[in-house]
Amino acid sequence: MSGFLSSLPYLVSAWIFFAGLFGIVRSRNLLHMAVCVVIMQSSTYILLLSIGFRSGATAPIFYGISPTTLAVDPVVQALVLTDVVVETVVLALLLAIAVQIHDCTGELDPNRIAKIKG
Amino acid sequence: MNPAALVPLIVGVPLSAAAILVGAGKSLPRRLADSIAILSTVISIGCGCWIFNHVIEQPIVYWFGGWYPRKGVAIGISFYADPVSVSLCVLTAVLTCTAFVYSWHYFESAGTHYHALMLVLSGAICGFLLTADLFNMFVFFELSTVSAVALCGYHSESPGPLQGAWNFGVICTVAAVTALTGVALLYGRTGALNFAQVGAGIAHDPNPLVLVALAFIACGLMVKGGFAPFHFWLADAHAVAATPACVMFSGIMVEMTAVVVLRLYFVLFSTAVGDREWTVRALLLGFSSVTAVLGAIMCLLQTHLKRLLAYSTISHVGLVLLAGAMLVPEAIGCAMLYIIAHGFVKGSLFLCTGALKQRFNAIDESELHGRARGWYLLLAIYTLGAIGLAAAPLFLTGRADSLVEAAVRDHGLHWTVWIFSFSAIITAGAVLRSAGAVFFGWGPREASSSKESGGEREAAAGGRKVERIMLLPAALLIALAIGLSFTPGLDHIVLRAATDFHDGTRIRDRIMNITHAPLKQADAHREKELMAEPVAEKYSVEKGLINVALALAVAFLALNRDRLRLTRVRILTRPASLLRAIHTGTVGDYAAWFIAGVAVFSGVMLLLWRM
Amino acid sequence: MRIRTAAYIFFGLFVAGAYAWAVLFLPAFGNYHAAYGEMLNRITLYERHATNVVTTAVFDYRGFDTLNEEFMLFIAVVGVLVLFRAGPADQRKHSGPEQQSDAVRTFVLGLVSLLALFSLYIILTGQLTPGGGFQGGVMLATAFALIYLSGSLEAFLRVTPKKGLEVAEAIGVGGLVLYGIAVVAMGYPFFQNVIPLGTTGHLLSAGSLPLLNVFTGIAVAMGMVLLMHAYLREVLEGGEGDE
Repeated sequence: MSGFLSSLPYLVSAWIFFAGLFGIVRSRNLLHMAVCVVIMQSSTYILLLSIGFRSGATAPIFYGISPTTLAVDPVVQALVLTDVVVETVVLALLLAIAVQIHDCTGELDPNRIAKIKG
Repeated sequence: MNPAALVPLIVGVPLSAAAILVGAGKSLPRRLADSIAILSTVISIGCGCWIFNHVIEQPIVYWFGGWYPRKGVAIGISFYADPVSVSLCVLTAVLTCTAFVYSWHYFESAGTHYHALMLVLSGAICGFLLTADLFNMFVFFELSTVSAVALCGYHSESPGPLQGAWNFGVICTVAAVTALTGVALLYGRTGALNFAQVGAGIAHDPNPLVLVALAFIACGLMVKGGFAPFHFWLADAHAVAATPACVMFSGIMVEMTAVVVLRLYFVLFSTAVGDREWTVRALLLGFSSVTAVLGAIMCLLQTHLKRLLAYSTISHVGLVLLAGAMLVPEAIGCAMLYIIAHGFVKGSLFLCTGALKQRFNAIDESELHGRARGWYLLLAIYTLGAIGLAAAPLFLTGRADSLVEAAVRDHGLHWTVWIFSFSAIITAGAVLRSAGAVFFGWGPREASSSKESGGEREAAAGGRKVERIMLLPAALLIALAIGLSFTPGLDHIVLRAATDFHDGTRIRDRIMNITHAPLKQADAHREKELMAEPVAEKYSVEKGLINVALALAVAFLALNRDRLRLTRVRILTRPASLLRAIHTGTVGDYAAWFIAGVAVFSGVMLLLWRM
Repeated sequence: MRIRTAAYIFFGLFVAGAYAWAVLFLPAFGNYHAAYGEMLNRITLYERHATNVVTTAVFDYRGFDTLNEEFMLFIAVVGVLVLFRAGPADQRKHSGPEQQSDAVRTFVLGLVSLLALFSLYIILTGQLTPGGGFQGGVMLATAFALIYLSGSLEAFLRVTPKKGLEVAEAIGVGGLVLYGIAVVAMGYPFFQNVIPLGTTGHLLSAGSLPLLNVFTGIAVAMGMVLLMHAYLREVLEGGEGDE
């Protein structure tokens, strides 16, 4: 593959990273911002999984296939599994805070909840 | 039993205690829950001290699951326990313990959820300090973020804590993702996650990927560390979190990132960076000195006591990295000693503000003005804490300060000493000023600048009596901050630990169980030299006294700012109001600052590299 | 806002440039050869008697990560409960899901039992085929979600007593960490396998993996159900307000 194409999956992950962060910077709604955090985090799944990919290789599960079969990297898959749980957890907590903020102030705009400054 | 086998218990004990407490839930009487929590921290302290005694001679590498490296490939996850990480784990356990003793009378009804949050936070901090695996580091980073965010929003019925928790949660997750991106880049390049293996993999392969990974990981960690321009969340979160949580945040959670940044630099990157070390040094020195100065100035501008202390934490964590960034053993020793000293002093100060908050149900200087007259016990602790910040003689902070002097005498960078003094004097001055206002009613009484910010509603109506025992932890922490500076052979322990910390190659070899390389010639020479002359003699009492005197002068000026017409001097007020204006409290702004910081870090790094 | 966006784009371009430059030094897509992954692919079958390398990495080689990650879930659930303990300011009840027809409810009931069974299968065979504690745990949690979706908030709350869930959640994560500590007490490294490996391909093979999978499955399922419980209570019932 040519130089550009061989890096394309990585560049996709970079794009998602910056798109997510852009959403956080521009966000006018707490729920929207929480989703942007998730988007940003999902860039790391793509980065990790595409790093570990090998052309023509199978999944690293040797059930009913020869133990010498070429398989993709199992470590990144384990890491992504952990990463996904991390994301879920953060999302659950952020949404709870958002619900609570809305209950307290009736406000969902992160730019208008600022009570502490300076 | 071999102390090496106990290393995982530093993390395992608080985590299992948390699970047990939540499992038992409300069927557990309140005092029993408190006792179990305290007992688990005491076990952690005991374990930590025993292990510390051992690692002082020989650091421990602990492989989880018994998966030892094969042919230079790390299969499992490892902990690297050296005097630096273990002593900070003990500090964490001590702070957790004092926080629990303090909260014995603090919460009306807490259930066991609060205990679980604190215990998991302390376990996460210890794991973060001990781990020698990049992904494991990320997991602990997030674990400490999640538990700390929940603690920060603990008083969830008022908007202040929620805003603080939101800003904290979002910006630290962004930081964690950035750091994880750096980790993934390194994994892609080296196919390894263990510090030692990654370090060996990139040792002779300096390329832009390595630099960008370094920038991403360092910036990600520095967000948690509250370094400018990533520090905004810290003040928001500290101002509103429950007092015991503040002790943990300021005492160790913030500073631990400075240690891990340095650890990563030495073990992973130092060989690859090689003779371009000055680029990293310049960058870290730049970021940390801006942090130290900015934090000190912002500290002086606050009237909200917890926010004031939060900015002083920012300033002092700047000092920690400022010392560490010199990348020489004496200065690293100073950084480590400073973390411990600062942890004790700041923990004590936060507990004092918590007592004020509980007694008078107010946390702003203008509201507390003169109300604590005659509360001499608290005044004494608070003032001692303040002069502890000023690196006064007898205090551990003063000892740390003397190590910096030793470092600059041999390695140049004399200007750092001025920043050290500046930050110490200004922050101590600010705390002394607040003491003058709160305990004596001196100085002008301004309208409260931030009505909402004291969002804590622990004592909704009027305030409650403060039991004498609640002040015991604060006094104890101050006593530790003073008493530990009389440890026999302290300087030698610190310098040996720092010399070891500094030698990344040797740590790599040790982790991968390669026969210990002898000390680098220069280092061995240096170590001998350091051992020959006790640093204690270099310590000057005069400097500490001058610091305290200047801090008193700053406090005097600040208290008489109206009489001296300082508030009318435009050249002072203009920049001050500008500085306050950029602290908008809006997380979108923080994210923009974050990306700006990363751009500066990676941009300057790549530029300097090309030069 | 405008300054903020401009600053983001300006600095973001720098960082994006650095990121893009860095990925050029990664191995080309599809050409990855890492010693770590290779080694795990080669040794798992022989040393752990497990066929699913990913599960083995998650629960054994990198089991310590998983332990902490389970604690992250655990502490987030605790955090959510703490955040919601005050209850919302307005006690107005929102409406739950609409009552569904009997046909839907009967169908869902059947589906719930199937789903529960299938998730147990996924949890228990994690060491052999794709699956494991996480996947099975999340599926088990969706079984509970179906009860709610079939139109009955009351039934959902009845089958999910908060206290019992908390105990089960604590047993899940506590089991993981206590297994580690028990192994230390026996004199082995934390989290090492001390259970006979069994025959490769059998249900109870691969030593500690099924046990840890079950603990994880409990922790994940109960954590997710607790989250659902807390959110539904908060939003639909107006909180508990009693804690």
